[in-house]
Formats: sequence, structure tokens, C-alpha cells
Amino acid sequence: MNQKAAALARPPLGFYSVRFSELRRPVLASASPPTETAVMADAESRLRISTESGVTQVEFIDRNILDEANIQAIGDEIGAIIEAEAEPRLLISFRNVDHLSSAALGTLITINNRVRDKGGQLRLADIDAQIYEVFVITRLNKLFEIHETTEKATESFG
Amino acid sequence: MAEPNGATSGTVRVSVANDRDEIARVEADILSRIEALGYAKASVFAIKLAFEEAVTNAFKHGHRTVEGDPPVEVDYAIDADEVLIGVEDHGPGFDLEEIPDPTLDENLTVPSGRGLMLIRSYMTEVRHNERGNRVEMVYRRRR
Repeated sequence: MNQKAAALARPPLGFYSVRFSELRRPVLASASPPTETAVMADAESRLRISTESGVTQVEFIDRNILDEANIQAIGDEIGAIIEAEAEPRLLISFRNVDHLSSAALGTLITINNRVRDKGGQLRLADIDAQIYEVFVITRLNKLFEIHETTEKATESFG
Repeated sequence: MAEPNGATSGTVRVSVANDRDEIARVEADILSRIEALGYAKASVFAIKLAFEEAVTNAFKHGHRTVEGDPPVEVDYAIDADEVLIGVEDHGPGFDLEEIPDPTLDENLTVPSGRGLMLIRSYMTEVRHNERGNRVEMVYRRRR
């Protein structure tokens, strides 16, 4: 399978539950420490997740979304949220994020594809100007619905 | 010790294992040198991004068919005017022509293939050796 075909191939059902536990340990070993003590209690998660008015809001704990293991864990966590919803309404906030890599962009694209496959809606918000430039350079600002603030993004759900 | 291609005196040369802490250590050294020379925050962002992408490409794509997960070779030379970073893998190399343009409409939903274009966007100059297993990235400071 060539690289593009591999990228397009979808993991089979059950992918998340199987891979999740396997990937946990190396992620925790290499991840940067959480920036807020409140997060320490839930050291398993790389995300802060809340639900309001049928919208699941996700925030990243790490300021850097760069290394593969971390990105894979984030993708698995958000994938599990998408799987659990009939028509997922997902808002991803980048409030705490200073750096992200093309692999992180790839995971966001996969998340977007999965949400669309389920007839759901995805919004991105609170993206720092330097990171927004990465979205513009890659033209991913055309693919994603991006809002300035989480409040505006929340209001935008149909 | 032989100087790597294009590097000037004062070049640091280091083998970097496929280990997050080791990659982070080398990156921290590069960025601390840049910050000490007073490079702008946007320059630090650009160089960090390019370094991350180049090292990821080397391990993920460069070493895709290489057994044993060997290290990649990183060299860097930093002065007040420019930053030169070389990243070399032990793979067979790749053909630049094979990489599709990720910004085309039909490729926007493909989750990979953006690393090199980000490097090219953020660095002043990007060169590859003929074999395709070494990338040299130059960032010239804007004054």
C-alpha cells in the first residue's frame, strides 16, 4: 500500500479500544508535565473534556502537540468521543497550545473525516495567531470551521 | 571531525535516537542558542517547527524501510545572522517529486504529507542531497 493509500485507509471498528491501552505507557513516560495542578489527578488524559448543551468541548493539556505518541493518544481519546456519539458535535479549543506539528494536523484531519462520516459537526477555536498561520499555509483554514473564541464556536452549532 | 556539508566552524554534530527526551534535549540546545542571540519569538517558532518536522520525517519516512531504529544525524551551526540545521537519516532517500501537493483541494482531507511544505514555508532556504536522505535548512535572520 502506498503512503497516500495508507493515510486514507480507515482503522477497523474497535481500533481505539485496542490501541488505547497499548499506547498509554510510552505517552506518559515522555509527556511534559501538566501545567495545572487540577489536571494532575487525571494523569491518564491528555485532554480536558466538558459537555454543555449537547456540545463536547475538548481542550489540550499540553502546550506542545508534537510527538507522535502524544498525538496518537490524543487522536484515540477524541476518536472514542466521536464513536460514542450518534451525531457528534465537537468543539476543540487550542487555548493552551503554543506549538503543533504536521502530525497533529493530520490527526485533526482524521477527526474531521470521522465526524463528517457520522453526520456530526466539528469546530476549532482559540487558535493562537502563530498557529493559525500554520492552518493558512496548509490551507486547512478552508477545511476546518475555525472561530475566534469558544463562545462564538459554541453559538455556531446548528 | 569532518564538517558536514555547508556548515561553518562551530558546528555541533550529534546522533539523535528515536526518543522524545533526546530529541527535546537537542531542540532545547538549538533554541537556547537562538534565544541567547536575541532572535525574535517568531524565529524561534519557525525553527522549532522546522526541526520537529525534519526529525519526524527522518524517523518516520526516512527510516521506514530501515531495520533496528537507528539514530538520525543532526548538525547545527548558529550565529547572529543565520541558523543552519542539517538532518540526515540512514534510509535510501526519497524523491521529492513523489510528494503530492497537500494544499490541492483533493488532498486537503489527506492526513499526511505536510511536514516538508511547512519546513519550506518557515525556513529561508531548504536543500536536499542527491540521495534524498539529508535535508539542510537555513534560516536567515530578518533585521
